[in-house]
Amino acid sequence: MNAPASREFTKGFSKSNPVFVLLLGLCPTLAVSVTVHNAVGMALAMTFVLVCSNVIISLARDIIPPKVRIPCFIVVIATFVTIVELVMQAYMPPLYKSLGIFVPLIVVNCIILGRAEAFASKNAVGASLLDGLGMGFGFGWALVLLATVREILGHGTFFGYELVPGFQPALIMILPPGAFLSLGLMLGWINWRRSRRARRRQDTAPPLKLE
Amino acid sequence: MKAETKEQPLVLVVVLAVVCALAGLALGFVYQLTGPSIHIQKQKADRAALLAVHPGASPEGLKLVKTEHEAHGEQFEYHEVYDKPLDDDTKELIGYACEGRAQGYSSTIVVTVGLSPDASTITGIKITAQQETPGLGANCEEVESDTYIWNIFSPRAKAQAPKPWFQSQFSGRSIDGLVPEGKSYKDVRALSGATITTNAVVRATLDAVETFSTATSLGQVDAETSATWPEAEGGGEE
Amino acid sequence: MGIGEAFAILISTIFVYNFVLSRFLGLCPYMGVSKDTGSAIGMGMAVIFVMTLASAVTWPVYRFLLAPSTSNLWYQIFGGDPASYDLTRVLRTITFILVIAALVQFVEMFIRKVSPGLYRALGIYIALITTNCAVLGVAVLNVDMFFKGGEPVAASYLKSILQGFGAGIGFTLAMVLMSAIRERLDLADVPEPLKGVPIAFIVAGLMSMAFLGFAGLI
Repeated sequence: MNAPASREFTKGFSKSNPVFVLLLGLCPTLAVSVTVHNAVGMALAMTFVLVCSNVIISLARDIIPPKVRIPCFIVVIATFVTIVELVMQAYMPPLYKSLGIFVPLIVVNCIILGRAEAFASKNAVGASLLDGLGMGFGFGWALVLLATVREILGHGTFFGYELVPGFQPALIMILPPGAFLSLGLMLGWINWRRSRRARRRQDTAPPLKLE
Repeated sequence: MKAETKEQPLVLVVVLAVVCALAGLALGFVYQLTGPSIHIQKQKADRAALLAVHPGASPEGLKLVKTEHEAHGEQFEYHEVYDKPLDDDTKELIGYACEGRAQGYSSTIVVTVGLSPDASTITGIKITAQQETPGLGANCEEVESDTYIWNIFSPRAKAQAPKPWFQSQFSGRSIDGLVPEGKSYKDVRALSGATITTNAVVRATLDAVETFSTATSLGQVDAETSATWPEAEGGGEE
Repeated sequence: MGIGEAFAILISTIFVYNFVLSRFLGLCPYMGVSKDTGSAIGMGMAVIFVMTLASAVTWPVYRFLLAPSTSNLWYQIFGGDPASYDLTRVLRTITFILVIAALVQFVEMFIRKVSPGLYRALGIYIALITTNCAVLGVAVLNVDMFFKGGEPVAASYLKSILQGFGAGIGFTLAMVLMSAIRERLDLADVPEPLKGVPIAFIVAGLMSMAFLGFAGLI
């Protein structure tokens, strides 16, 4: 059971990375990746919601009639998002303040509803759990990568610690344009790597295109 | 469950109702657990600005006073700050705290100002609301970190607590000394590339002081004196 | 609420704090639907309609069912201390998303019955809008900005509707601009790795930079 199980987990990192490959969950990715600290906080919150909702939906997949499955999924996801909101407000208020409206917006994160619909409602609990973990960490990985670039170039710090004395950061990186540009260039770089690997393997992998 | 029974409207409603009920139970349970903490955090936040401008204050030694005066469309209130809890008879007044606001570059800047008992000196300011440009005007709340990444584990780094440098320069300043000089204010270290925000913070501070004096007749500032403060606008912000 | 304030809300949601280019709300449909101007306009119209309606519907729900004030219906039925009926933290997210989902369903059914032609043009987009973070985002923003404690500020309802309307217009504006650029990008000589989504993001970044010029307007 090891090989297939671990693949459920690792696919979230590269092959089916929700942000870089599936292009889901873009709103929080761009908004929250201003500092690595925020990115980690958001990633953990989202992974918690994803894993919990995947597990519950997978447990109840035979009981929920197809006609009302979307409202049921929404209620389950919203419950866990509210739990995260309450816990954050109680124990981590500065993080809650800096994530702002993106904490309640986890409920409309396309990744969570997408995985519930596509995977959890059709698979066993164990696989759904791993899928949730994998997708959540893949999301977190993408978020942290983007946040690292933006924080180092835009603040001159990493996780709040100064890097180079006297470095004048590029302000644009922490403003909205910097987010769009960083993600666009990162996606372009990923495309380039894929096509290079494909060329070396002598078969054609089409570059990322939105249909 | 058989496929046909799943489609019955009654089953749909029952399933939805059960799901909602379970969700409600779960939420109620978590709310019970976290409710007290949230309440405590809110209290801490409400008092944080007041404690920041009066370092020697006791968290239970804050008394709200409402005045008849109106400022910015609301009833003006201020706090009396004591060094011991309010029910302690040996407490001493260490000052006052009130709020002032002024238009910044892209938002209204709200400042909590701490005043000495005779309202002649500013004990400190704390910016409580601003939406200025990140990296420029928003640096008014910036905490200057003395810790470089390779110093994380060095004991020397831990000894220096980071300070909000822009706000702390107002601690201990006499109100008389906050005078306009050219396009800005005298002896005020400005935010680089954000003179509008810098001046707005000073104006908000002066607004708090002036409103307090007018409302309580304490301190030497009155409407006539403050009318002579020109609105020192800065140059453009990048 | 004076005309100046109304104007300020509209300008701020359309230009200064544009929902897509400044607040990062509604990016998934923004990237997905902005490939040609016709569908961009169609989606935009649907979004304006849903966002305004959602603002109009979620406000009373918040005011009368959730917020801790004397107009709270639970307080009026059960009595006690109004402040203890603070359901905002616990139920806001769930109630809003369910209300919005139900609203979108009804709108879809209504349009299908009343005007099949319109449904053919807009119907698919309306379903997409439910999970659009922009709609939930504007509802949450309304109650954050226009409620103080449990009480609404002056002209709160009108301001919320105006903000929803302005947000929809801002979204449409950004989408139509993007679609116009993308239509021409298809004919341009874009480097291979950047073709498709990456160049769209870079264009969005440049547009966002342009919209930054509105900062300080309000």
